[in-house]
Amino acid sequence: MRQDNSSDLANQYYDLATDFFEYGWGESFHFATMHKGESFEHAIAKHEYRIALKLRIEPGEKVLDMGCGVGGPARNIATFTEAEITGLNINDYQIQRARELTKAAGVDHLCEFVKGDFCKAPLESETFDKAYAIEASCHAADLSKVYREAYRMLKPGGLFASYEWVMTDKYDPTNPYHKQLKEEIMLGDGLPDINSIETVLHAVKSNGFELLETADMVEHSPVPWYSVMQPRWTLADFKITPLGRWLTHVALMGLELVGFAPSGSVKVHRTLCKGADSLVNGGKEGVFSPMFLVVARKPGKPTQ
Amino acid sequence: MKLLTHNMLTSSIIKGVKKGFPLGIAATDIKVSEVDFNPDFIKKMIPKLEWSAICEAAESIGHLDGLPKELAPDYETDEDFLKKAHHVIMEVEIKEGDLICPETGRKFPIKNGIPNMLLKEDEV
Repeated sequence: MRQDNSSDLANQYYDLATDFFEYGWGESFHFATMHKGESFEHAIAKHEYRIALKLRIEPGEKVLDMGCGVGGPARNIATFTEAEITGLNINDYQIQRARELTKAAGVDHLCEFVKGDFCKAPLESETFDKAYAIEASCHAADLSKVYREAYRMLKPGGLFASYEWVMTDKYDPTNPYHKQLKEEIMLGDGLPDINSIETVLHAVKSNGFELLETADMVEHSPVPWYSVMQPRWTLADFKITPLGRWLTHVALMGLELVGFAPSGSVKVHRTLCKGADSLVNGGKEGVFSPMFLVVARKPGKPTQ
Repeated sequence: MKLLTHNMLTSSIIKGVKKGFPLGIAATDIKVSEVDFNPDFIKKMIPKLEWSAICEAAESIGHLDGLPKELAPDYETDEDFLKKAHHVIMEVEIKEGDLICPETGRKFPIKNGIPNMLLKEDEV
């Protein structure tokens, strides 16, 4: 029973949240650069294809997705490139969902999933031609471990790309509002910390990677990335924004949970909403980016 | 889990385990399903695999299905061989069972086709 154990409640909630994310947001839990008149689905796919482009993924290559969620990006990139993608994820519910969705999409011959920790991955060294992480490494307590593992698992000459969540150079830790925004994002999204660009670059270089490219993709998004989370004026409009749909569902879920554990569910609901608001505010203020692109290469001569 | 994926898994994440490869397989449910044969894909995949581990794993679950254990130098032009390789690495799937660490015997359950390689904190 849920009320017996608070960690069970949290786990149940997390499992449920996956379904609502999926319903409200789609099968790819990340943000994207947006252009005028572009659909959300298109923007999301484009953000993923950019990774395939930067990694120069070829058919028949072995590619690792570190923190694959329910596998939306893996499926898109696999069908786009015809590479063999291995998705690594620590959450049991998400990874089971990833497999179901992959089977349903008919791409299970190109995508397989392994439950494991990307900071200590159960995969052989020098195995993958390419590896990527899409808004996933932010969940690691120590970002350096993600880069260390990516480096270890790549073949010499292999490429790694990541969209990092960062506090930008505009972030001023002595500014109380900036500090508040950072703390709210951390709280709302269950993050141990949010790295500075400097920390990200240190993780890249200190683990032996050669840095090929960095870009804050926020600067390449004419329509702000956070606009998908901004409520519009009318209730009808609001409901069709992904966040609106998501919040509607979170609210429904909250009602469902009230009977079991009122204080817990309300608290989590409030936390998630606050997290979304703080993402928007962090984006508006320019102190936060969920798409600091890093492309790096493991030195060495490529082998088979 | 296909043998393609088994071929890259290791239990070297366990404290004290050196190589942890290849993992033993105790399968309780194996499903063989047809996958479209793409010779170019298989040709590119073969050099990326530990071939002996593929054959050993396939044999241990009773699905070597005529695949030669030695890679012939001209395998790229041998359609029959490529089809057999395709079958073993792409079509044979372990749905339920355990993966077994070759050094400690620690079991990693495979549930609904997904190997659970997550360790407890005291094992890392």
